Amino acid sequence: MAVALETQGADASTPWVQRAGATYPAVVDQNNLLSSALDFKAVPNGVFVGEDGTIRYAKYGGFSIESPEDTETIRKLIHGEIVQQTGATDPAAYTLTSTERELVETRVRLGSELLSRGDKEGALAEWRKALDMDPENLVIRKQIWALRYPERFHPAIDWEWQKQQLRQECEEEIAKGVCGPDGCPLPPRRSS
Amino acid sequence: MSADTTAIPRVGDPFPDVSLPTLEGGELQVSSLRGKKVLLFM
Repeated sequence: MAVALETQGADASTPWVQRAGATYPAVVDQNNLLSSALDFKAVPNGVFVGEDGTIRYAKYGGFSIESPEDTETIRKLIHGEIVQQTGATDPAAYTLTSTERELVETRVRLGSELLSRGDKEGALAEWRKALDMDPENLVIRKQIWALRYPERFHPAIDWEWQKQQLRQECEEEIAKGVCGPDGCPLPPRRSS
Repeated sequence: MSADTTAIPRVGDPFPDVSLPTLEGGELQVSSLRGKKVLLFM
């Protein structure tokens, strides 16, 4: 099952799924239900769920179907050679209180609602407020990019541009003083 | 803070039962996949 984290809805996700040659169910997590419930802030992620509905493996950030290590783990899980595997990347420890997290989620949903009514600038403003509260959240940051710079995502994702953009935005955020005396909590820079 | 972290499912915990729209226009309830092994790639 592939989950597209895509606040622009199903239409925006379809080209990626087609290119991946997906024959499995593909769902759209438009309101970040899963990134909230599982507390991940980066992509790509792989989560393996057993027949009883229990999480048996989770790697947040840097999961790749082209990585021999990742695919070997999944193969063993599928064939029952191992029951579960811990120790892959766990979600980053959240520094937000549950109230703050709810507020971030509410702003993300509000932004999506505004976007569905055609209010792009309103959506960007709400997502920006959410990101200011949760600057490590790469999922929200990428949603903003995808809406503001669609040419960097369609027809192909420009990873090099993302790296530069992330660096630039972090420098701006530090300069603006939105971060504490220890600097900004920079988004995880995992090699993938 | 500890209440926050225990609320987040980890390996060994049940996967949250959410319902998500599919690209074909339907809905997929995660609990409907019980009995199958599922890899989520997201």
